[in-house]
Amino acid sequence: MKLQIRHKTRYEYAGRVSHSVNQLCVIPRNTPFQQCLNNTLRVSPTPEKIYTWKDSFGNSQAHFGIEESHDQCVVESVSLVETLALEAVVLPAEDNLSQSLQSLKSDLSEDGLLAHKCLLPSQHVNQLHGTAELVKRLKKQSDSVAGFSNSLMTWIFNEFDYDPNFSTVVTTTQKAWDAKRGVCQDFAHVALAILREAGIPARYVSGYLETLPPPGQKKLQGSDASHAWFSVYCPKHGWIDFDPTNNKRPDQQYVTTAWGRDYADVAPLKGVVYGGGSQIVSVSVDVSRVDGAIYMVSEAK
Amino acid sequence: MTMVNRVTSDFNESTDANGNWHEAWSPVLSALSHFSPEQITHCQQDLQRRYRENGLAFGATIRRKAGIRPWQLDLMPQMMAAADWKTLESGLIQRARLKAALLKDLYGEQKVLTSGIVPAKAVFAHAGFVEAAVGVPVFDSMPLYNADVSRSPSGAWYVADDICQAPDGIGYALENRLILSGVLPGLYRHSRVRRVAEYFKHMRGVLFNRVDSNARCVILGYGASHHYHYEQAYLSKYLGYTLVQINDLTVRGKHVWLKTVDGLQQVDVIFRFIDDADTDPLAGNGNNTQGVAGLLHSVREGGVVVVNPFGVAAVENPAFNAWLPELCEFLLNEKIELLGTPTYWLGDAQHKQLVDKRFANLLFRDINTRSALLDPSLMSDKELRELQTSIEIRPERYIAQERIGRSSAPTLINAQIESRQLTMRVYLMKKGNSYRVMPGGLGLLDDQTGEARRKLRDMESSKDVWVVSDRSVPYETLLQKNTNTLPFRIVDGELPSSVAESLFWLGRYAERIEGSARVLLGVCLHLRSDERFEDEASSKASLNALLESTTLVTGTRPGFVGESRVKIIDKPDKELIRLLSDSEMAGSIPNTLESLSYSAARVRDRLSRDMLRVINSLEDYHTDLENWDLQNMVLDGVTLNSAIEKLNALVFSIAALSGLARENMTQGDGWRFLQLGKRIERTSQTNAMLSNVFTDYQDNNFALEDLLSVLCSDMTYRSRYRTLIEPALVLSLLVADETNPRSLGYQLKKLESQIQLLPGRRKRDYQEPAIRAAVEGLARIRLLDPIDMLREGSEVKLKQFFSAMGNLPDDIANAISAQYFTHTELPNILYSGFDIVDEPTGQAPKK
Repeated sequence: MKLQIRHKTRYEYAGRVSHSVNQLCVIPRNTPFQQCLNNTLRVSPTPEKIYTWKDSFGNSQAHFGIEESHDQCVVESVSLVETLALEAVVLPAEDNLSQSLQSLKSDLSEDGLLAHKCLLPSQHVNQLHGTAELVKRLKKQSDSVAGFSNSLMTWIFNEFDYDPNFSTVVTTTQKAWDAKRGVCQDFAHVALAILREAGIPARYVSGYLETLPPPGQKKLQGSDASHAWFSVYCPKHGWIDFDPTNNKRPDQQYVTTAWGRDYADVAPLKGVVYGGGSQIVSVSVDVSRVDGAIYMVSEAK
Repeated sequence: MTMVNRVTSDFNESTDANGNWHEAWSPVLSALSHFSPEQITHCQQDLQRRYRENGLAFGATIRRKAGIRPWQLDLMPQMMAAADWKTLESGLIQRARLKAALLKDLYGEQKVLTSGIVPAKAVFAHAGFVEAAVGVPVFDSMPLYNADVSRSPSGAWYVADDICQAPDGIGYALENRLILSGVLPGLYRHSRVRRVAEYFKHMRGVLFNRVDSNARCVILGYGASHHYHYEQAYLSKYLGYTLVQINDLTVRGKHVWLKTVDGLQQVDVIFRFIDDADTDPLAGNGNNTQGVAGLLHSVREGGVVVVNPFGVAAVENPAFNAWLPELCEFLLNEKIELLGTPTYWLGDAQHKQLVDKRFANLLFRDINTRSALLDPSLMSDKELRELQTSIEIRPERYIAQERIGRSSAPTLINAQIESRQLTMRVYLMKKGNSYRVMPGGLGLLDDQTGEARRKLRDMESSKDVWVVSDRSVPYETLLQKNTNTLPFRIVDGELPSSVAESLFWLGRYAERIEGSARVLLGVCLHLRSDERFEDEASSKASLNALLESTTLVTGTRPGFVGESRVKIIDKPDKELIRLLSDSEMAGSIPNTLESLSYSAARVRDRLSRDMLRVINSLEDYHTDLENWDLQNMVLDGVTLNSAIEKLNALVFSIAALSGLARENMTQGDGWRFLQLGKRIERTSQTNAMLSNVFTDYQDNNFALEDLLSVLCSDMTYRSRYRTLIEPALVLSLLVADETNPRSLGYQLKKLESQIQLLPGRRKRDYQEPAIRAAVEGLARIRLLDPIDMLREGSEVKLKQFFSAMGNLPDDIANAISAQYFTHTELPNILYSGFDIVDEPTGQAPKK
């Protein structure tokens, strides 16, 4: 399936910004299940140059600076991605939790090293208070890595309320856990904390999800959004993805942008501005199927 | 002199088991034992004095407030025999090569991880490992390496700490040498001590390894509030590189630029003394918003060289000590020469089991803290439980170390030889494919028991390290050698905006202190004199005029001009005493001295040695005034005399500072900002006093006399007019006479000409606000008719004149600040659009 993603971020500042330095992580990477056919970045005011490189996880990162005085900034990324269907829907059952941890010790492959990083606490993922009982219960339900993760995904989906007003940039994972609410990013972080506590290497995945309008209605522009879920490492099978926001294993409708230890490694856009005062951010994302005709990149403003 | 020896089984640096002096030590010990206690005390005082003058032992207010003791240097050097040093040197060079190889591997192929020598967790759990720096092709080089070494009871050296980010303390080491060799010149010359100056000569080559020698290098530090600032300012002076702070730098394109008053200047090499964690907020290590945004990007693109490279903290990880011999075999194919402390990484279950059994016998350390060793035998039960819990939760973050004693060295305390535990900080830099060691170092003394060491700045005292050569040492002068090696680039136009701002404020504060001191002096003299008793009413009124001026000049409203002035003005003692001695009161003399001290600290690398000496003396006045015992809050005769004496001395020191600024400083942009600050402040104060006296007291001859005297113009007035006080003549001398350096006209004339010479406006242009304001003031003064102004019915005109003049200093200061200091704009973190959305995020409708 071919999906076109248009991801537009607009910053409006109360005052003038004299200079800004930004880092972008919005270009979808290639995985066994998808290929990024094309990407265009457009920034306004136009920076002198957009620098790109691959980070240590293999994600595409981009850097740009705006050196002219401005009071708004628009960043638009348009990507065309071909996604493949998952080969097996059945979860592998033979990766026993304790054995898996044992075999990880001698797993010195590239994925194995990443798995080591994904067992440790990270900027947004620290050990949560009040999760011990849940871990115990989930372990009882299933002693395989995939089984545990699947149960956790469903548990979060059922117990947590989706609440975009709850999350702010300063929402800590502990707060989301205590209130049992948040957005996809919080759900993923909560899951990562619990998985790491249970000894399962788990990474954060950022990406997009195609949503379909209710039958008979036209899809609204900008109604999609960037999305996030988690992925766990089974030494025998590699990484397996789970989406706790939708209680679903990511399929053809999902596009992976990047992965890392948590949100901090793969923030779609981070930066430092000099001057400007308060800021208003608005984001719009469109994910649409493409049957051959490819949309042109729109003007950024 | 007697030797007080602690009973200890530790290795003794100076004597063997029978108490006989080691050969390397005997010249020093025998020389010093022939000194009388008076001679020793004299030498120690000489040491302290030299330290203060060079600025490192700076007993500044700000440091005292931060609880930081001045740097201490022991009169007795640490002696190192040639053979002994050679062993240490060779071991350290190998260790530096090992750490360099490890650094390259960790940020490159990670073979030490994939081959299983080091558990991945031990590396990733250390905050110094910067994920974002993996693959950045700069880690094939670690130009500098430093280590803290100690000697075990058997006499073998071991490395207690690897210090890889910056050579902290190296300025102190250099300073120790220069001072001690000056205090003990004969002993130094006859001891065949190897020189350390060579090392600094080569530093330039190491810093400029990748770029041509005309490139611009800056020293990046944390600024005046940081405890190593004095050392960095010292190094900056010694090496000739501009000392900058984080906010002085900005990334544009792929390069790093220094914000100067002349615009942006490209920086090629950053010799950094800031931690990895504070280097770049976008690099994502730590929650830090500090740092130069985009610095890592610039490094990645080859736009700048950072020394030592960003990310190097990863190899400071003490957990590596657990696998050092294996790492050495693997990376260098060599046997390890110098061992670290026997170390157990608690992330390894087997190690942890062994450690649990002997918990109380070992020392512990969170791998993310430098130096701080935790000693279970010194901990309370509660602390112990907390440590054990932390280890249970995150065992990979902890190591345990065996307790190893440190050697003891003799030290002179109050002319007595005592014994202290020794740690030595040793400095290395790259030389071809290997390293060179500075023949010397920083000896650190403490009397901590239990082998847990303190941080560098908490050490009791320091020692210069004298490495004895087995050959004769050629005498070389440091400075000549230092400049002859490479073509010298004149660093001009490199005035960082933040430095210009500090110089500007230094000028203002110095002038504010002078003005405040002079007006307070006037008050004190008035209170002491009883010549005016015949005309009590106008005498009283003239005192009121002075008191009001005092409040206006010091900026301490309400004071003597507020609504409750009637109450205070009759009993002025309390308010005056506060102005003289209360450092908490904004605008008081000690308070302004503190502000001056802050500004001076920020620019000390730009001030001459003599000026620093004066600033030191100003800090002494601060201490003196603050500790002045005035409990009954009454200004009696004795107190008045003492106040007059102190204020006179203060005025004298400030005069010395102004004189030195005129005679001793290159009259470039920096000097100009200092002068502008001074003139702006003097305009403001003079105008406040003139306005007060001429509005309310122009008929009071005493008040006019006092005004002339506070503004240092009484002698001129008398010699020029040889007459009784005439208001119009006073006004003319203090406002319009442009040859009187205390007049308003003089200030505005100077301001006008200095503003014209500021960077970026070297052609005449009257459009810019700063120059417009100055020219406006000058015109008003030149058009003033003193006789007409003081005529009856001109009161409104007079008021308007002073009020217009009163706005000028602020207008000029604001205009200068807007043009030259706005670079000091603070950064805001941009939030990613991911977090704040109106629309639901990625949520398919729940069934």
